[in-house]
Parts: sequence; structure tokens; C-alpha cells
Amino acid sequence: MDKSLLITRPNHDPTTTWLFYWAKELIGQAEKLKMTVVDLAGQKAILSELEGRLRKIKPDLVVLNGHGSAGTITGQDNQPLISVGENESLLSEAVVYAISCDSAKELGPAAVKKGTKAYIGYTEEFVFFIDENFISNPNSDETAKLFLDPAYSVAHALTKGHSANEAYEKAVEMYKKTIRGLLTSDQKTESYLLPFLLANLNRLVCLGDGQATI
Amino acid sequence: MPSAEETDIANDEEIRELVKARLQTLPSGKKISIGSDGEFSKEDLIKAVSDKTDLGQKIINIQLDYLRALKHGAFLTQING
Repeated sequence: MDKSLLITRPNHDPTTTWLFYWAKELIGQAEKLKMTVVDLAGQKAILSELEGRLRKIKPDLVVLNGHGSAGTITGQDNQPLISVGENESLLSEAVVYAISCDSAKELGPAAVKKGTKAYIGYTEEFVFFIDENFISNPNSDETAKLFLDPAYSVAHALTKGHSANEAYEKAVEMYKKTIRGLLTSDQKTESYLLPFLLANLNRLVCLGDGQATI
Repeated sequence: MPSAEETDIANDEEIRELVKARLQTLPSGKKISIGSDGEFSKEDLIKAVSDKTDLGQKIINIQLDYLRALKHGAFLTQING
């Protein structure tokens, strides 16, 4: 049976716009791998759509892009999608990756308790730099790339069949490689990025069964 | 001799000045996305640190975590590990 990916891609402010565009490559890769892809983009990144699709297709992999807090991940216009004590059980049997602030603090552990196989996410703010000159073409933003390529490497690895822990480790290694690259680069002007890359590296966690695959 | 509370206040002020000096090295024309807090310019961040807002405290924490890792040698060990 084909594996399935459900992804949320709100698009209502610069942060979500950058994630919206960066996730396109992931969708392309999943399609190449013959995965069934449910793309809840823009106005479709809302609670009713998400709940319906999660119940109907029970995706193997769920990637949640959007704003968040310790107990909630939001969608379009910051409407709550998944919240602790409300509907985290909808993520049961899935491997979940949340590119969102704080959600691995409360939502991740709560989802794992309710049957999510593995939950990879950030325990505090996920941060990245953007150059607003690239608002119409975020994928060309080389500064954002330094943050978002490591971040999305988690989801790329999961679609390729790596375990949750392997996907986590690949992202950690990519963050480290990026940091090493900046330290040895002639472009010393970019050293201001180091504290922020280190923050993302230290805040990324893998909860639940690290051996879980999709 | 200053009280412990006065020393803490002085230290807090020194830390804020240190972080603001570091933030001055950020380039103009780029913004940092900090989740649902929004996107912020260099000037926004410096003001947040000066005004002692929650956002300012988040930035201070990121900078101090980095500086502590450097000081204790943990940073290079971690990224080369």
C-alpha cells in the first residue's frame, strides 16, 4: 500500500510564507516516491479539513508547518489545528514532524501518550532569518536556506524510510555542518547567525519511538 | 558595598548592553522570524532588549546560551561531535 503524507501549509504572514514555499520540495519528493500526498495549503489549512483528512486517510507521516505554542499548532490565520486535550489523538499511529515553535514541550508528549508513534519538533521557538527582498521567491533566500534546509531534512529523511531517530540525527548533523561552514567561511559577516542556528539545534527533539518509520 | 539585589540589577544591565552590542552586528535588510511573535529587524530586537519585553528576553537567552557554550568549550565539542 502506498505511504501517505499529510502536510499543513498556512500562508498568511512572512514566516508561514517562507515555510509554505520551502515545503514544496518535500511535496515533490513525496510524489516522486509515489506517496499519497494530502496538501492542506493556504485556506485549506483549517481545523475541519485537517480533522476530516486525518480520520479518513490516517496518514503515515504528518508534517505540520505553522505557528505554535507549547500546547497548540495553528493553521491559516493562526486558527488552532491540533491542541492538547482537544484532538491530539488524531495523530495516533502517525510519525509527526512539527516545524513550529514550542510544540514539543506539551503537545508532542501528549500526542505520544495518545498513540503517535514518534513526534519530532522544537521545545522552544524555532527561529530563522529572512530577506524580505525575496517575498515573491522565498526559495532563493540563501540566508533562510541555512535554517530551513536542516529543518526540512527531517521530513525528507522520513519520506525516504529513515526512522524517526535517524531523521532527527540527520537534521542535527546538517545544523552542525551549517555551523561549521559559517565558522570556516570567509564570509565572517554571517557569524551573527551562529547563536540562532545553535538554538534550533538544541531545541530539536525526537519523542516517542525513535525506531518508528512510516 | 552593593547589595546582592543591586549587583543582580547591575549584571542584568551589563548583559542587556552586551546583547545589544552583539545585535548591532546583524545586517540591515534582514529580519528574524520568531514564530507567532512575528518578524523583527535589528532595530526591533535592540528595542525589545532595552524595553525588557518577553521578546527581548528570548533574544537574551539565545545569545547567552551561545556565549556560555563558547566559554565552556561545549560549542566546538558539540558541533564537531
